[in-house]
Amino acid sequence: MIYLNIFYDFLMIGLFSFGGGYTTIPMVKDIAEKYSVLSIEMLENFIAISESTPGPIAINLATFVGNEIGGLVGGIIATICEVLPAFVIILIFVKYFKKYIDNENVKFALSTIRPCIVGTIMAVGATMFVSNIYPYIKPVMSSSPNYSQLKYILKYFIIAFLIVMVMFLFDKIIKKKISSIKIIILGAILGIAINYIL
Amino acid sequence: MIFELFITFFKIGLFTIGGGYAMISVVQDECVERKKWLDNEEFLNLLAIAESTPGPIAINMATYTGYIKGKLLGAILATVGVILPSIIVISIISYFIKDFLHIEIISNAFFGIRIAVSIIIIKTAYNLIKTEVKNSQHKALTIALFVVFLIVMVATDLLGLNISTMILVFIAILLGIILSVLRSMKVI
Repeated sequence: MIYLNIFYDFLMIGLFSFGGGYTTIPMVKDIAEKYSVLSIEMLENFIAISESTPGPIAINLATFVGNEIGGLVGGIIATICEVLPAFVIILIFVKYFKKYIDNENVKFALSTIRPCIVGTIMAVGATMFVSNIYPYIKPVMSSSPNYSQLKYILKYFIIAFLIVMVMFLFDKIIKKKISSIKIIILGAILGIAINYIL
Repeated sequence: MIFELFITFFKIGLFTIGGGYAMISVVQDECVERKKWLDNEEFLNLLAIAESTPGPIAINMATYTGYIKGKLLGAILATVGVILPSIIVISIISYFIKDFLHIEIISNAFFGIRIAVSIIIIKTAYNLIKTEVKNSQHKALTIALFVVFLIVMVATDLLGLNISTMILVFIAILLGIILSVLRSMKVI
């Protein structure tokens, strides 16, 4: 039965993800919450690994989450289902609709759909950033702050600040975009260093 | 020939880290420059289709090229080829990850990595919307749609409402169609 659920859920993700990659993250987060086998924290770990291993992020993430919900078979079903709508739609497109792709109205419709989807991606990034730290901020605000909680918050913001600074410096001084994998490696080094120092 | 499709896309899946847009240049190099399966115009067509249909761009590219070169069987083999490395690598990692995360130095690393990931997502969305606004003929509309969806999504999360993202995407698609119809009727 769990396989049937995975089948349906990932088929829907495949159908509703325009552009792939990061567009699936908001929907995968919904699934993680639905099955409650996967914490937001774990999902973020998965995203980082998906980003730094071979293959499309959306596919890696589908295999990961499917695996978490239904084991090896779950992972395979999730991945195939996420791909299936794209596969069928491309076949239909190549056969029948190739000429419509340059149509002005189709282009305009897509140019209004994309900003909406980017909005949901930005929202997920922001909620993830906050949800990492919120469980620690809440007790600090309500009652007497506890030393380890304050330390956690401090570490969190120091790392966030340093990452943003490095990205900013790369952008402004070296005039080159730093790749996501390098930012993840930077995060790992900072995570180890700060827990060693503080 | 058909088998070569499988091998080529398996290689593309195995050697492109980061996926999506990183993959575009690899596919171009392999399928246009080296194997000459597609010409440049066909490749641009493919890009336009890939970006305007659901699903990961890498998958769209594999299916399209596979179909052009080997019909249905080609499409299946190319698509399976491109996802197979992911399934193998990630299944293996999934098996070990839980024990791995218990090691102190690893869990410390992932503390930093999680912060990096949320920043990367925000930054990616920022880059995407910047490009959208730059290319848009209705900049105010583009920004407004972005902001409205951002606020609605954050608000539903803060209020603990479980509105699925798919409903929002569905609304976005409806909006796109309505606006496009209005535009063709010269209302906007």
